Amino acid sequence: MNLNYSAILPEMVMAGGAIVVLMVDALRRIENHRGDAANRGSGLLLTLSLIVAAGSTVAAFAVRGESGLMFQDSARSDALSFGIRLIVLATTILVLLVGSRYVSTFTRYPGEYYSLLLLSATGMMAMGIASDLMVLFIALETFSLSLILLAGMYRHNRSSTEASLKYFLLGAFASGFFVYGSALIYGVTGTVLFAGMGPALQVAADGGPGAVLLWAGIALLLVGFGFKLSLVPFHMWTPDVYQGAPTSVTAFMSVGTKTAMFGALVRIFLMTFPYGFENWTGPLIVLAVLTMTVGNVTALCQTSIKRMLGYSGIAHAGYVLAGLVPGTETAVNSALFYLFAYAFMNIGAFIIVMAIEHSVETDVERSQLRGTGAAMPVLAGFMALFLFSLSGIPPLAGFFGKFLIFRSILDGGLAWLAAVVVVNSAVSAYYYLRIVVTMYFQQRPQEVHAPQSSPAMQVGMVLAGVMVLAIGVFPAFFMGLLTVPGL
Amino acid sequence: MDFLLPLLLLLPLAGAVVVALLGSDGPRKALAMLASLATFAASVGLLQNGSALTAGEAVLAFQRPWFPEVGLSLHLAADGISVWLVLLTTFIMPIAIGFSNRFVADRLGQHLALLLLMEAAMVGVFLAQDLVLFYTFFEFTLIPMYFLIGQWGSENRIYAALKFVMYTLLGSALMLVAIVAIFVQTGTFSIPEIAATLPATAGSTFQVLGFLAFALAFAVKIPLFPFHTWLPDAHVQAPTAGSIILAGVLLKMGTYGLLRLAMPFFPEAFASYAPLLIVLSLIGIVYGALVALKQQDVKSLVAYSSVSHMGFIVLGLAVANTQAVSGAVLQMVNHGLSTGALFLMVGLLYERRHTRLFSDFGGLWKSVPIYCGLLLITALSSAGLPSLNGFVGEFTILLGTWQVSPAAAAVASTGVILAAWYLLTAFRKLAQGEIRHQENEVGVLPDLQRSELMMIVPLVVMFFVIGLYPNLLLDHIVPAVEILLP
Repeated sequence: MNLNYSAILPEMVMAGGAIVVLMVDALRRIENHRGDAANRGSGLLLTLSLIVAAGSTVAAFAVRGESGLMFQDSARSDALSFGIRLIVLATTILVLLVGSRYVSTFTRYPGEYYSLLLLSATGMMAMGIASDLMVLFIALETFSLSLILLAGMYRHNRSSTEASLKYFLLGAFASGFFVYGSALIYGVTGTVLFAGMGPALQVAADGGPGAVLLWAGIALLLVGFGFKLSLVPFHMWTPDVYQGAPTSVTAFMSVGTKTAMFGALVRIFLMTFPYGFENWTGPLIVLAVLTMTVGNVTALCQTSIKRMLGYSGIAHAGYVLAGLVPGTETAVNSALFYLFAYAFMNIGAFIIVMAIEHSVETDVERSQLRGTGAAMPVLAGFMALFLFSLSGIPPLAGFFGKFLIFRSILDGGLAWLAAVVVVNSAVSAYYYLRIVVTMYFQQRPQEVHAPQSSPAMQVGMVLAGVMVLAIGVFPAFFMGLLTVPGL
Repeated sequence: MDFLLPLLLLLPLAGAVVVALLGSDGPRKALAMLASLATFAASVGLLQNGSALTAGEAVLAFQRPWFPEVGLSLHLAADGISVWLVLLTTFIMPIAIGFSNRFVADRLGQHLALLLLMEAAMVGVFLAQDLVLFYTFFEFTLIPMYFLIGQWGSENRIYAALKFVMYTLLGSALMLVAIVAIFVQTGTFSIPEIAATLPATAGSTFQVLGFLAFALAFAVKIPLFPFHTWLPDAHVQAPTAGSIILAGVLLKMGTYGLLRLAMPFFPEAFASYAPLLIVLSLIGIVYGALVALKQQDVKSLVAYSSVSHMGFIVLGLAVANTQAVSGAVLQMVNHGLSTGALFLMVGLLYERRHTRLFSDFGGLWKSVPIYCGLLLITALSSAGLPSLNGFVGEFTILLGTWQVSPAAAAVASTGVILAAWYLLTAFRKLAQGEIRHQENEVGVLPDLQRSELMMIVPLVVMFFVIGLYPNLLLDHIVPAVEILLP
C-alpha cells in the first residue's frame, strides 16, 4: 500500500486552504455582524486565498519529480498531472487577482466565493491525478458542484440564477451519463482502477465477451465529457451559463473546466483504453470539427462580448480536441501548451470585460467598447493583445499553441484536419478583430465611463499580458516548464 | 556570428517602444526619425561583404535556438536579393516617417510606433532563414498596417482595414499547414536546408499542394489578378505613410516569398503552374493598366498602376530564367521607389487641397512648378523611361520573357505603353491646361517646402542612380538568383 501523501501535497494545500478561508470568514462575520461591515476584511480573505494558491504552486513544483501510482493505484502522479496542476493554478491565481472590489459587486459573502473557488480548483487538479473511475467522479463532482454555486453567486440577478440552474441540470445529466458509462465499464472489467483494466479491456477490444457493453460504456463516458467540455452538439448550455454567471466565475470556468476535463480525457482515452483507440479517432474528429466550426460560426453573430467569448471558447475546445486526435505524447504536450496559453489570453480578455462591465454594470455589448482605444489606451491595448493572441497571430502565445497543434495533427498524417483547423482559426480572426475595430476605429458617441479596475485587477491584466508575450517569444522555456521530461 | 542583422530588427523595435512611451510630440518626431535613419545607416553596412555578395553567398548569418524541441531557430542571413530589399525598406522608412511627422497630428506617438514596428517586421521577412520565423514576420506586418489604415485612413477605412486583414489571413492560413507539413517531411524549418532537400524527396502531390498553399498566400499579398480586390480599397483608404509602405515594401513580401520559398521548394510544381502564373500576370498587367486609365481619383490610379506593375514582377519570376528573375528582383526595388514616390506626391497634394479628384486640379504647372517637375520625373520613372530606374527592370524582364515566350513579351509590352498613357494623361490633367479652381491659383497653392523636398529628392536621386548604373544592384542580385534557381 502506497500512501504517498507528499505527492498530493498541492491538492491538500488547496483543499485545506479552502477550509481555512471559510473558517476565517466565519470568525470575521461573528466579529462584525452588525452594520455595513459585510465587505470589511474581504481583502484579508483575498490575500489568504492568494497565499493558498501560491503555496499550492510551490508544492506542485516541489513534488514535480514524483511519479507513479499511489493510494492503492487510485491516483497517479506524472507529467500529465503536473501540467494540469500548473494550468489550473495559473487560472486560479489570475481569477483571484480580479480582486475583492469586483467580487463585492455581486456577492456580500466573499468568504464563500473564495473558498468555493479554491475547492473547485482542488477538484480540477484532482481530475489530473485520478486514476480510478470513482476518484475521477468525485473530483468531477467536487469542481462541478462548486462551480454551480459560484455561477449563482449573483443572487439577485435573474440570469445568474438561471445560469446556475442550467448548469446544475445539464451537469447532473452529464454526470448521469458519466456514472452509467463507468458502471458498464466496471461490469465488463470488474474493476474501477485504470491500472487493473488492461487485460479485460484487451479481451473485450479483441471482440471477446462484453465488447458491446464496453464500447457502450466508453461512448457514454464520451458523452459525459462532451457536456462538460461543451463539445458540439452537447454545448447548448455554455453561452447562457457563461453570459449569466459573474464574469470572474465565467473566466475560471472557461479555462479550468476545459483543462481538467482534457486531463481526464487523456488519462482515460489515451492512457487507459489505448487498445482500439483508433476506433475512437473517427468520432473524436467529427466532434472536433463540429465543435470548432459551430463555435466559430455562432461567435460571428454575437453582440455580447461574454457570449462571444463563450462561443469562441467552444471553438478553442475543438482545436484542442483536434490536437489530441493523433494520441501521441507530442499531441498531449501540444494540448497542454495550448491550454496554458489559452488560460492567459482568455482570462486576460475576461479581466478587461470585468473592468468595463464595472463601469456600465450590465452585460457588455460590443458597441459599449466604442472609442475605448482613445479613452482608455492601456486597457484597450491589453484587450487588443489578448484578442490578437486568441486569433493566433504570431508571435503571441496563441500562435504557438495553434502551431504545436498543427504539428501534432500533421505528424498524425491528417493534413485535411489541420487545414480545417487553420481555416477555422482564420475565420475566428474576424470576430476578434471586429472588437478591435470597435475599440479603435469608432468614436464614442457619449461621454466615457472610466473603467474601475482595482490595483489587483491591473496586476492580473499586466501579468496575463506579459505572459501572452513571453510565451510567444520564449516558447521553449514554457514548454520545458509545463512538461516533465522523462516521466 | 554577426550581430548586424539582429541590430536591424532591434533598432526600429526599440525605437517603437520608446516612441510609444514618450510624452510629447517633439521628441517623438525626432526619435522616430533618428531610429529610422540609424536603421538605414546600419543597413548600409550590409554591403560591407561586397565580394561575398557578388559571389552569391548569404552573409552575416546569425543563428540562435528558439524552440529547439520543435526545431525552430532564430536564423537570419542576407544574400544579394535580401540586401537590396532590406535597403529599400530602410531607405523608404525615414521618408514615410518624415511625411507623418509633418502632416499627422492625431495620436502621433502611436502612429510613429506602428510605422517602426512595421519596419522591424518587414526587415525580418527579408532576412529570415527559418520558415516559422518568416511566417511570424509575414503575419505580424498585418497588425501595424491594420491599425494604420483603420485609425488614420479616410471615410471607408474600417471596411478597407478589415478586408485587408481578412484577405491576407485567409490567404496565408493554408501556408502555415504547408510549412508544418514540410517540417514533417524534411525534419527542418531551415529555408536553405529545405530548398536543398525537399525537391528530391517530396512526392508530386505534396509538391502541388504545397506549392498551391504558398502561392495562394503570396498571390494575395502581391496581389496577383484575381486576388487584387483588397488593394485599391486598402490604398485609397490608407494614410499616405501607410500607402508608401504598402506599395513600397509590403507587396514585395509576396513576390519575395514566391522567389525565396515557393520556387526553390517546389520546382516541379512551379514549372507546371508557371504558364498559369504568366497568364494571370499578363491579365493583371493589362487589366490594371486599363482600369487605371479610367480612374477619377489620383490615388486609385496609382493603386491600379501597382496591380499592373506587380504583374511585371510576377511575369519575370514565372519565366524563371536568370535574366527575367534578376529583372524582377530589380523591379521590386524600382517599383518600391517609384510607386512609393507617386504615393508621396499624391499625399503632398492631398494635404494641400484635401481632394484627390482630377476634376479639382489642372494647370498646376503654373502655380507649383517644382512640385510638377518632380511629379513628372516620378511618373516617367514609373512609366519606364530609359535612363530612369523603371526602364532597366522592365526591359530586363521583357528580354528574359522574350527568350521563353515572345507572345507573352508582346502582351506585356502593351502594359508599358499603357503605363505611359495613363501616367502622362494623369500628369496632363493635373499640371497642364488652365487653372480652373481658385484654390490652385498662383500664390494660393504653396509649392514644395524644404522639408518636403527632403522627402522626395532622395527618391528622385535613386531613380537616376539605378537608371544609369543598374549594375550596382545587379552585381549582387544576379549571382544570388543563379544560386536560387534550380
